[in-house]
Amino acid sequence: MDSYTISVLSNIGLFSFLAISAWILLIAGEISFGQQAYFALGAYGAGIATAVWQWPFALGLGFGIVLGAGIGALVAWPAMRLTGVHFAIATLAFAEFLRSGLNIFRYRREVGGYLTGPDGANGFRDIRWAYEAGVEPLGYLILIGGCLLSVIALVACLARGRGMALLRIVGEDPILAAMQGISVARVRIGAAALAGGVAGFGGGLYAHMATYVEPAQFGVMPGVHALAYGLIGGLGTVFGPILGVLVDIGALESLRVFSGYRMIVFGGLVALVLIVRPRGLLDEAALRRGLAWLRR
Amino acid sequence: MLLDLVQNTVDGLAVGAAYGLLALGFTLIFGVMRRLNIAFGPSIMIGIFAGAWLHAEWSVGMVPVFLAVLAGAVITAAYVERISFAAIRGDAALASMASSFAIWMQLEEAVARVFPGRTYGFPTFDGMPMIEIGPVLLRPEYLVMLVTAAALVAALQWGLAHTRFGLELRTLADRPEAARVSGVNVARVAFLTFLLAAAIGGIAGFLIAAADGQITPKIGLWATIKGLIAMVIGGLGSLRGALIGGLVLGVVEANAQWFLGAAGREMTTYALLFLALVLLPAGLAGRTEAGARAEAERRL
Amino acid sequence: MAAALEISGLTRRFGGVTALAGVDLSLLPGEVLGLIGPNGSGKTSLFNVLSGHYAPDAGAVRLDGRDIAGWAPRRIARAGVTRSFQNLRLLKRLSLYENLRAATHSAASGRELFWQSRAAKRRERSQLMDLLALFGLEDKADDAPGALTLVEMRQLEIARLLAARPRLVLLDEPAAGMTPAETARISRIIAEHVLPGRSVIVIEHKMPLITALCRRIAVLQAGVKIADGPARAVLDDPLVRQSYFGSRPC
Repeated sequence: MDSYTISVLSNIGLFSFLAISAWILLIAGEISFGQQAYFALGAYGAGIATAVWQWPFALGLGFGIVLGAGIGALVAWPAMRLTGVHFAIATLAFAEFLRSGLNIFRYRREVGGYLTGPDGANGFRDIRWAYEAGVEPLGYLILIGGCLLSVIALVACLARGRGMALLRIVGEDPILAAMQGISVARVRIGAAALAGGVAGFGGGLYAHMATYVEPAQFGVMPGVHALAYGLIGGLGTVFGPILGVLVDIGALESLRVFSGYRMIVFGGLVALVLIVRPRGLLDEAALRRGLAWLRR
Repeated sequence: MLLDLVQNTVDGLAVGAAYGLLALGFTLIFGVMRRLNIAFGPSIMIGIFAGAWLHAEWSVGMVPVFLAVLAGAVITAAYVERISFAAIRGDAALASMASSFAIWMQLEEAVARVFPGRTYGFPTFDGMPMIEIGPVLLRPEYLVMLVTAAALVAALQWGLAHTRFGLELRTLADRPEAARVSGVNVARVAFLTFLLAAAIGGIAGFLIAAADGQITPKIGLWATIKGLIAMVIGGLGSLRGALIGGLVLGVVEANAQWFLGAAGREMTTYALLFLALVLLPAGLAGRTEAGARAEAERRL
Repeated sequence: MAAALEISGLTRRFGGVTALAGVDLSLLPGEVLGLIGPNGSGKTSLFNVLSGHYAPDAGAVRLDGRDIAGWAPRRIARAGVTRSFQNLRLLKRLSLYENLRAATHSAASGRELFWQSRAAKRRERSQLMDLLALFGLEDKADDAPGALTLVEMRQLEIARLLAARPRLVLLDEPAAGMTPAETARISRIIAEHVLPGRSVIVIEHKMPLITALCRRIAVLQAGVKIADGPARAVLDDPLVRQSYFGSRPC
């Protein structure tokens, strides 16, 4: 594989984490414009852990996940009773709060004779674990793929158990859910923690691939994109958001004949798809049919 | 210190009036359709670029530029409404939102095609003197913003109360079922509301661009975000609330910018926004009839 | 015998409107009560307070001796109270099977969120499929409820209700929108599957259903209970006839 293909596939993989994160909340009935915040937390957390504190890579990634999940749950707790636009704006508010906070967040320590760590708006340089460990881009791509598979496996477990059903019930009718004895608050906070953890996971991987992160990378746009991926790809299965990323970034590469008009073509295509399938390509009906077919 | 506070508040009120107009557009669409049009800001951006282009090509005066902005915004909004809202029927608020996002991407690329640079000039109101009220200075553009916003809200309130379209709009917003039964042409009212919202947004966009003297495609995202925030602060579906929300946002931002700097402004604004949402989910001018529903939500 | 449900002085206001003005009502274990009254008389408000949707402003609700007034809906549901809704609340994006399964989640352990053993899954499926089969819906288990007829939707709701294994069932107009023939069918289904071994309150405007199911009837008017007793006696009460049926004989 040439290095260009590797970098495109790595980006698809990393963006999938963010898209799955937004998708989990969509399933639970909440629109989030702010999952990029947990991606950023994962990137900074894991980066600080390996570059400044010199933790092993796996532990650093784990720290990023815990940070994303923990802050996700913490933010969800007061925001839990908000729905629809209110929740969307609250998530946006938190994400922008965090981003502007990172703009003044300085935490530079001397490591091996160099100052390392986040330097406000100048960003955070030298997250060099992959370089120092001698991991080639292809190896790192495989690592990203493996991590993504573990997230898919986790979602599959939830679907096999009761987790996914709980998310969908609360997402569709929280009042009915409560009258079935379900604790809507716990489901919503759990969903937010899960979504935050997944985004943090992706963020940690991203930081160690890019070796450099800065607050400006975590603006509203990637968050809105991530949200759109799930809606385009479909809310039925976890492959929906991944399909959304593939369609977008894949289209970006394959529609190079349309260079300059790519988004005009792609945007129109997406709008047409949504007219025919309002809940995305792989929607719940597709999931039901698929499950019925499997059972046959 | 106190004088700074007053000066900032005056400036903030003016910018806030523009935010309020953006929120007004959002709240009209949201009230009638219960769907979020995140391509609202980008439609305004198209209008502004149409105006800038007209000015650059033929160096026309302010009035033709204004009309071009209005026309650009309204025509784009009509396109968005047809594709992302009218065509997607049923209980599909999410699909409309995603679709309007896709159209947004289209619009941004279209502008990037035609205007490959980053920033463009926009005509300003020249030759108007700075207004002095004691020690406080008021930019003339800001005075125009304030007066326009107040006049527009007054006109809207009157129109909603006294015209047939206004009555239909209110019925559709407050009691959609009743509107359907009583023979209101829902599709038509929704479409016209969309255009009305775009026109208001266009006016806001024109004033903001004329005050700044330059524009970038980023104004699309900016207008969507500021409008949404002001709407939510004020309370969904309330015209007065939209304006109040805009003014509050403007004043807070201006003072935070002055006393805390850019990073401080962002942090304070968003922290306050988060708190406001959690503590006052109905908004500053929230309606009380949502009370029983809100209670049911709280008890989950 | 101790009452299964004992409501006393239950009051709830919405703004200036008093939906329930000190309602007293008691229900013996296994008893079926028909609750009638004109529109807006507070019947559904009573259900909404009983199921925890709204908190009462005053009064007590004792379920098997425990005061559950003001509890959150999920706690009341776990205490064994289940209700149906006038305008069916089905999960239209989920399959019939998942609609039924919704009633069983609250009893599950935390570990089951992530994993159910094959045996547990099979046991759960066979139980819920039996329940669906009771209503002849087993062939549609994987379909969405959108394709069902009105009677089938009601049956699905009743099946969900049974899946929760409730002790007290609140039925809110189970025959709403049905033809007389459909009403008779749903009435038979309720008598056969819901009533045995449970305390039930039924709200209904359709008298054939009420008279077929309930030996006892209570009447609400403007948030006040104006009659309560054996069905025949209540329906013949001139006060009830006047408030509910106008002067027209029934």
